[in-house]
Amino acid sequence: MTTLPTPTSPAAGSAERGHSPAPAPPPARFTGARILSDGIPQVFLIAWGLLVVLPMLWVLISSLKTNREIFTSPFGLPETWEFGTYVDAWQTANIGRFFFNTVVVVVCGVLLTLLFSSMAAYVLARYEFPGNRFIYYLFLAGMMFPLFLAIVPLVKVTQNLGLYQNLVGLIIVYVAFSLPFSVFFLTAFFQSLPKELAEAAFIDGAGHFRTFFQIMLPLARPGLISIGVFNFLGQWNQYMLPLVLNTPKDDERSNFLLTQGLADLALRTRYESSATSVAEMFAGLVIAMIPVLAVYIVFQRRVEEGLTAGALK
Amino acid sequence: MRKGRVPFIITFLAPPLLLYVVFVLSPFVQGIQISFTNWTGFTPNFDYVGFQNYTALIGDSAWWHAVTNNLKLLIVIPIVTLALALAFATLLTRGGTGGTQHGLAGQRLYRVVYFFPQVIPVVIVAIMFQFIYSTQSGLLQQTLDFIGIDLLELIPNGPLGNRDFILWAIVIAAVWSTVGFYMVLFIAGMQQIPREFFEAAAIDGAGRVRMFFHLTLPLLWGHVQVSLVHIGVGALDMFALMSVMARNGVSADYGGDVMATQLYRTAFALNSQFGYASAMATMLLGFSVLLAVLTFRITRRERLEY
Repeated sequence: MTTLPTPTSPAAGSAERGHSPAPAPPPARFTGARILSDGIPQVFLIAWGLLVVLPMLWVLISSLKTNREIFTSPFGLPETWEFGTYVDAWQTANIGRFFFNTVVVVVCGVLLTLLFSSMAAYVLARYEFPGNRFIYYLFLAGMMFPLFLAIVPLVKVTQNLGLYQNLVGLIIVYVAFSLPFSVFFLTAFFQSLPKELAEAAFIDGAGHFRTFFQIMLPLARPGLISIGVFNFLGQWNQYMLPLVLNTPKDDERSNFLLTQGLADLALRTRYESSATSVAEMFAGLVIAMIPVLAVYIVFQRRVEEGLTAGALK
Repeated sequence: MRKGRVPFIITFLAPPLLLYVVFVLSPFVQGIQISFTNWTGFTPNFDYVGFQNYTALIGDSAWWHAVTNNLKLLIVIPIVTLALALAFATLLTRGGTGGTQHGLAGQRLYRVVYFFPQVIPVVIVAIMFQFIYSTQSGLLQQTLDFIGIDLLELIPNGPLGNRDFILWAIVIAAVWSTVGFYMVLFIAGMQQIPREFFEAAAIDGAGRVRMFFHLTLPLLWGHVQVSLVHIGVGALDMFALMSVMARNGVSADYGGDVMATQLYRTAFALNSQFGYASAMATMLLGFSVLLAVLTFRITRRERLEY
């Protein structure tokens, strides 16, 4: 979505939301009054922009300094760009391993979430059977409760099923907790697709399964992308679940995800503890931020749509 | 409809439903059940103790300290976040001269940048702020040094080591990370308001400030309500931020302890008490539901159709 600076009629405005690039802003006329009345708000906007960007930039630049430099010249550029810090962070601080684990869990988690939620949503949206509404509301109920209520018993459930302290367990739990909102979102999406296409497929002799995978899923692509991005960010950022369900298996913490691994490092890191430890920590933060920022920049509109739809549910 | 309908419905519905029931619904129900036991989580056996956990909780001053902290957060975070998000959204959509035509220059860039913190994992935000607030050459200390102020004189033990400051230091991180998100939400809402309304108001001589309070805000009320509930539920949680920045709530003499961190310590730290922790979780759930109901009650007003 983009803000629309130029005048549009209300109808066009709502139709355009999220579907077309913003038209060019009107040419600015810098009269004195204009400079003053636009200038004061601009000062606030720039100030907040700096408050957002500078800490992130500080992390990035510090990650390329030596530990000593982080102390002695906090605002300057690094004397020599220590790209080696990233290698150290990746290998000795085991962040590479955390990163790899996170990618595995999130990729599997998101794909399975998409598969399961679209299956359930499709059936709930398009097939009438006794209990349909009941199951739909049962899924919805999961959106209302805070994760905290479930966390203690969840430890026991996963332990009993052999899913404690391992990545497969995490994937399954992520998928389960992603289902309520995804089913809710995709049910509405499938309901909005034209019924005639499925009817036509049936007449051509396609079965229920073929109709779903070859006709309906491709049609649902925009909805799947939105919900996929939504879940990618949600699962990548998850902290509570891995912290509780994925406790360290060994000294290297080889089963950790990025968020819990970095939090664990942060809680143990002291500025003086080793030659590059703080710089490594900063490098780790950068490594954790890059994928989500990249996804946001590429899918900007979808991310905003998906997340705001999540809030307005 | 066609043949094979029932097997199809079952095949498609059973796996997701099973996952959901086993890993989401059953823990929720068990949580309430466990809250009536003295289970430690380690032993297989436990006894039902009625409301004992709840009565203990009501007499637990550490718990009420955590609840008080959550209430402080519940008042401050929504107000600050909403005020900033509404102000920025207004400036970016209708902040330009005349108040109806356009936002301010650079609004697309602002919007992208302001949203950044929302996509960064909250834990990463927490770690970053921990370093910003560090009393061993953190960014804040160095910036203050630059203008000749000693952080440790200003705030003894630093923001995260001072019992009176730790909560507010963490509030800043919380607000920092979510303002952009609510701003985008409000921008989406503002774009649904017909432009003619603003033109009419401008003809009647309303300025930007009046337009905001008499036009934008009433028409945006639905979005504001939903945001209040969301921010409120977030303020009741705060686990990720507190877990790192307040070291699970114990930093600065428990100055930043909240319900979530106390629950976590009770269940998973030194002496694990699953029953007691589950009672806390159930209370937390009660607070969340109460909050949602109250918000909609208090902020209810007529829905405006346009």
